[in-house]
Amino acid sequence: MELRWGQIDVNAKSNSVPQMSNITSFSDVDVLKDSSVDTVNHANYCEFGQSLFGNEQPIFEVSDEIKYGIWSNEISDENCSFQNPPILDISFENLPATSKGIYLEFWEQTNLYPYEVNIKWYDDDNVLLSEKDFQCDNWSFLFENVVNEYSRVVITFNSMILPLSRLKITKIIYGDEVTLTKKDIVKDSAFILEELDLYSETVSINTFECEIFSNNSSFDFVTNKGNLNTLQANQLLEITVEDENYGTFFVKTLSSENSRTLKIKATDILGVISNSFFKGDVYEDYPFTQFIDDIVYSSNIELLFDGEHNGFELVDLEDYTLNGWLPSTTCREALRQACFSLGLCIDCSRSYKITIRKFETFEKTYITDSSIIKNTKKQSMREKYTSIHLYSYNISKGITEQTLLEEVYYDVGTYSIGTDSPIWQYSIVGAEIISSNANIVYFEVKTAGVVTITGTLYDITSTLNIKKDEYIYTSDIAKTFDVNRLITSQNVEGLLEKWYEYYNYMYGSTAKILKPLKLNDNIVLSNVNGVVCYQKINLLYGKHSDIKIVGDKNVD
Amino acid sequence: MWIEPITNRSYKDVLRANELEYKWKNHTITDDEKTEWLSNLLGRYTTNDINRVNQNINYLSTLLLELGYSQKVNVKIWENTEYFLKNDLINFIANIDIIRSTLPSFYTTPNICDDLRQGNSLLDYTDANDIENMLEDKKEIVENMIKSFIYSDEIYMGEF
Repeated sequence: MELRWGQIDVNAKSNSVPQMSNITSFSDVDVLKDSSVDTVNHANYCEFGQSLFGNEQPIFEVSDEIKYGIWSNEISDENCSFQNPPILDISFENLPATSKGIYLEFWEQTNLYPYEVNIKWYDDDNVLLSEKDFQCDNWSFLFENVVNEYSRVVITFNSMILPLSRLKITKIIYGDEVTLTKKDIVKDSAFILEELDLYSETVSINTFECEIFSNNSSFDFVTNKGNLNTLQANQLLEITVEDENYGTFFVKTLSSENSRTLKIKATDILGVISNSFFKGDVYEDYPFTQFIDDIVYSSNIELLFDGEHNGFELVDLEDYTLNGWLPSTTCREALRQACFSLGLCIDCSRSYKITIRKFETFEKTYITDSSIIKNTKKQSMREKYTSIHLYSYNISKGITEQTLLEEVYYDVGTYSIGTDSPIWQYSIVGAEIISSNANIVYFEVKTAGVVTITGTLYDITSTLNIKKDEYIYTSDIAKTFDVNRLITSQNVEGLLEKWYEYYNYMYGSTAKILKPLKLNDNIVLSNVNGVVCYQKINLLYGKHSDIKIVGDKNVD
Repeated sequence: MWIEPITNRSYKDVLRANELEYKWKNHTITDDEKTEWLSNLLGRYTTNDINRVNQNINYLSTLLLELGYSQKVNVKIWENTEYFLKNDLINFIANIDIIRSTLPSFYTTPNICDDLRQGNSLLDYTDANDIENMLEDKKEIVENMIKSFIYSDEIYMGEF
């Protein structure tokens, strides 16, 4: 069993400004800011080191759809040396970088790579911090050298592994992957906690925690030697057990209770976006897919992930739209309110992405008694509700005006103010509005003086909707939900049905099982036919897992 | 000028080329082997091979033009510093096709694989042999044609 993670400076790539001169016209230095580059197998006859007799590979062609990384115009001579060595010069704009080295990928398809490489690291005053010569021996190579707080790195490629070859760089990572085996991890300390709410009444953040021995791992936090500085807040950890993906997590806290071990606590991507600010707005048939892109943009996670809706996987939600008012809030709360209003489920387990889909799309699977640890099955009744209460909201443009701001500004510049109630029309005196939505207005003060902003409010009315058990003989126990103004007369009926049905799932079951399930698995356990909503996985020791399911008595 | 074609590549040559590449990468290659690598190694297909084929196409095309065939073939001589794209492969094969279709073939003259014509696959060593065998056949046919014109000339001049 192994736990692997990248010791990578997660901010370095997005902050980097890579530059390289004398490169081919189709080269794109900015691919080094992307998480990965499509390096489809391509052959090119006219390069001496690229003749590929006996291989079935596509012919090299220039296409806007394919990124090849960086190809040097310079070609190694007959002794493999570059007469004018290609130089990759990377500076870091905002934050200096810290890493245990620079990991580069070259041309995997033919295992073509540079041989002699010199790297210099500089601080923000351009003072040399460190310099090292390397001899590369593979298409993927870590140029290992721990350097803290560098603002510029200059990589000079002096020779190639073959004559008459051009340098091809396809990927850069500021750091490296670390593999920890069982011996590096304190017994019974590595856990993943996964939780799921079928209709997003709450949105749980899955967590990973483990405690590692400092002397066995690649750093020593007592002496502050090794790669400790590369293990930083929001560090991306990929948890893999026996080649199976157990999810991607981001470091939240590092702590130590003694001099020998270090505790790592990490959250899934929901934990990362948890506190990011989301502007919200008044929505009218606003595509849910667009809303997710807004979340990605607001939480600044687009650089962590590739592809459409970076960091999210949306299952058949193209036709879903939002209506109503979402006040300014955190990205996590915005996501919760939106998914609640649409009856959608948010799941981050076993993936590096946030999957959002309808609960109904989950597949049913079965577990056998042999996979359950003996005498661990328990069954219980859940809290009983006899009615579901849900407010829906109607929003329309009103006529009431409200003064939002009346203040003297002494400095010119750009400012913003938020509102407690949604505004559909702004007027401003003494400054100029740059942009606005229902919750926030950005304005520019060009001349010092009094600025007055007035807004015309939306009118909001609410209606209580109730779904009740008609045959109750006791007093009513109502389930009420938090205020969510994305619930309108259009979607409230469907939500009432879903929640009424959900609270008719009267039974819960718990058990310890030998091999973890997946959170959305629909299973039968202790005669309860239900869905796995909670799981605590002991990663190191047998992968024993505590599970909870919510469901109804098995009628089969 | 006609350059002697290479038509005897074998799989053994490909293996030898791979072996030398392995030695380059492991820094165990000898000076003699470096020279072997940098010469026209049969198991690799490089700029040298493309340029030789192109030069022979040019040779045949010039002869054909002199003989009254109107099809002019434009070939390019490649530098090691250039890169050869899919379209360049298609043009390369198209030029070979022009020579092939302009002149009759022997029944033993090899064909060109359609995948190559469409730029959908790389050459293998047998394709490379076939191309140069075909050009060699065409050269023989053109030269026979030239010889036959000379005989006709003599007949028309009437020395009896």
